[in-house]
Amino acid sequence: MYIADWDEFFDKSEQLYRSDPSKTRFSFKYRHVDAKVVLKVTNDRVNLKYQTDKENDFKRIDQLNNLFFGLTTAL
Amino acid sequence: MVFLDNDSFLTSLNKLYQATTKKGSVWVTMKRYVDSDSNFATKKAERKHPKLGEEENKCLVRATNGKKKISTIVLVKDIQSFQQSYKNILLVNLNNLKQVPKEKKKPSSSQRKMTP
Repeated sequence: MYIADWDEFFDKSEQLYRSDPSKTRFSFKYRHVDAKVVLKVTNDRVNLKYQTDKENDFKRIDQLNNLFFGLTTAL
Repeated sequence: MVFLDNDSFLTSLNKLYQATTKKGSVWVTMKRYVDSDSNFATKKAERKHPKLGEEENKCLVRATNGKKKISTIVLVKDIQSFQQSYKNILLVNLNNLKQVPKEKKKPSSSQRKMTP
């Protein structure tokens, strides 16, 4: 199931990571042929996905990258 | 698992993106990396419950196109520069996404050229 609302996806992703930091991973798929991006955050129990094909969602991708770079290296 | 250093990872990632412009996808996955999780010399129970605060958290970044796999570990001190380089690679390679014209504005191709 894809989550359509970005803010919801972003908040849930952060919550999921904080609830289980050792299991939660963030996966980013880019398919050039279809110009499609899928962002997925999962801990093997809960699965959060967001997809886009729009250029101005780039800042969202970057936002999530930064979130995970920050979270994974936070103490 | 063999880890590349940050720079060669980014170079390989760039190549991976360029190799999949005609077909295929690229997955990039990141998660927290804790040394003791991968240290199989210690007992499983200990690995599952590492003592908090003893280890520096690191970011494990992996990328694959389904065939070739690359991975690296980013340390806290390198995270800023890695973040920036990674963003640049994405900016260059995610060039196929749909442009959505801004509302109530004329196509801004001429405006864009003027701003640095």
